Amino acid sequence: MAAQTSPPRNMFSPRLWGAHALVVIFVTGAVLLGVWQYQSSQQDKQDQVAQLVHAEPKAFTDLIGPNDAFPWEQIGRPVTVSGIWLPEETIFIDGMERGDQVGFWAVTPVLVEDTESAVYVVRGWTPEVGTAPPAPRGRVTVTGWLQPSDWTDVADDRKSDNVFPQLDVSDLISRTSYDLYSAYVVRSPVEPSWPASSLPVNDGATDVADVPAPQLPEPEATTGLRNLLYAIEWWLFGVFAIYVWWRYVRDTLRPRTDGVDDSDGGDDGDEESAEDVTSTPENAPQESHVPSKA
Amino acid sequence: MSLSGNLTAYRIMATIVGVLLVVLCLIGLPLHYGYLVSDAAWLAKDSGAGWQLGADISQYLGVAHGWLYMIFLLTAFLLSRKAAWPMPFTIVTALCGTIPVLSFWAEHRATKLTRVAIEASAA
Repeated sequence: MAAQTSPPRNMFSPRLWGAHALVVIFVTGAVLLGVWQYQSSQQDKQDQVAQLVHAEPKAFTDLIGPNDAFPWEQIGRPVTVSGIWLPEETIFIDGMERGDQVGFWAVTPVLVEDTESAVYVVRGWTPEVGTAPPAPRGRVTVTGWLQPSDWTDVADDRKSDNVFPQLDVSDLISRTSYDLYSAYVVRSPVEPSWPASSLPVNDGATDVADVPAPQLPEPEATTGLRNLLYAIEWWLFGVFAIYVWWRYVRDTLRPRTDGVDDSDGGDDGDEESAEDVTSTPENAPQESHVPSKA
Repeated sequence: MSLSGNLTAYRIMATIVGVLLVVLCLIGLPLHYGYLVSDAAWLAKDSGAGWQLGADISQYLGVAHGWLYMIFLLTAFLLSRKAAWPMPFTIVTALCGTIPVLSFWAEHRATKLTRVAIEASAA
């Protein structure tokens, strides 16, 4: 017969401290490893967004036509617009923050080459409308990030001026006789990797500060998926460790009347328990017939 | 589930995971990293057909193995409770499920122990 000690009386008995310590270590490890993998998957997504923000520019006219809806899968991408400035249609967007200052975006539309439609181009940030640099004129090639029309729907408090609370193309249609694209472009700083066809010509960047694009490209759904799955797996391991611990504690605390000792054995535990099971056959059925949650 | 039902579930999962481990570690990994020790064209990184097969094995079977091993752990644990395995034996059996080839020995040992318990309960 195996030596039979009485079961520990409650969860806090020192015999169970080893199990408690192990589960705390395992669950902490599983949670931390899962968090690490989750952060890695988020980093993959951010890396992909950064890559798209600096991707080689495409021709604006290739991505959207004058009467097309906004191409949402291209949001935030660099595009190159060629045409003629329409300086008399210049507007300003107010409430634009830059660091701790609040100022305006200087926006001038470009009549796109070979079309009769214009697209608004955010040239940059300026602190005051009155001191803003004059709008550029003439032929232009400007590269920037493709943006959808703003939809924040703030009411304009003075409808007669050229200052607007947001760049909503539908607000601006009535101002101008030109047909408008359902998009706008935010001029981006020149990048060394651009081909010659995307380099700016007369891009209206003088005396206005660069601004970041309000809408960034979206990462693909599958980016970072593998690490996200690893994170879920680690957290499931943690849950499993808690389950194992709970079953072990519960089984150890139950009053035992049979001779099978399964609380802790030495390295030869399997040989000993095999002998136990065969030498006390009348007890083994009790163990396997005890209703247990399977 | 009966004890022999738990045993069958465990043996099925142990076999699946064991075979996957052999394919992943003894076929996939050598194919995937063979270019480090050999100049053969079919092992060349990014271009060799063997390298590509190794990369696919690692990617797809690797992800599958992660989830299947968790199911294996669950079946082993439930069996360990039903068959009253000692805790160290249970832990060793679970860990051996991560080692190619050794996992088959661990499954054989666990099955033998459990069969003894089944026969004892039927006696």
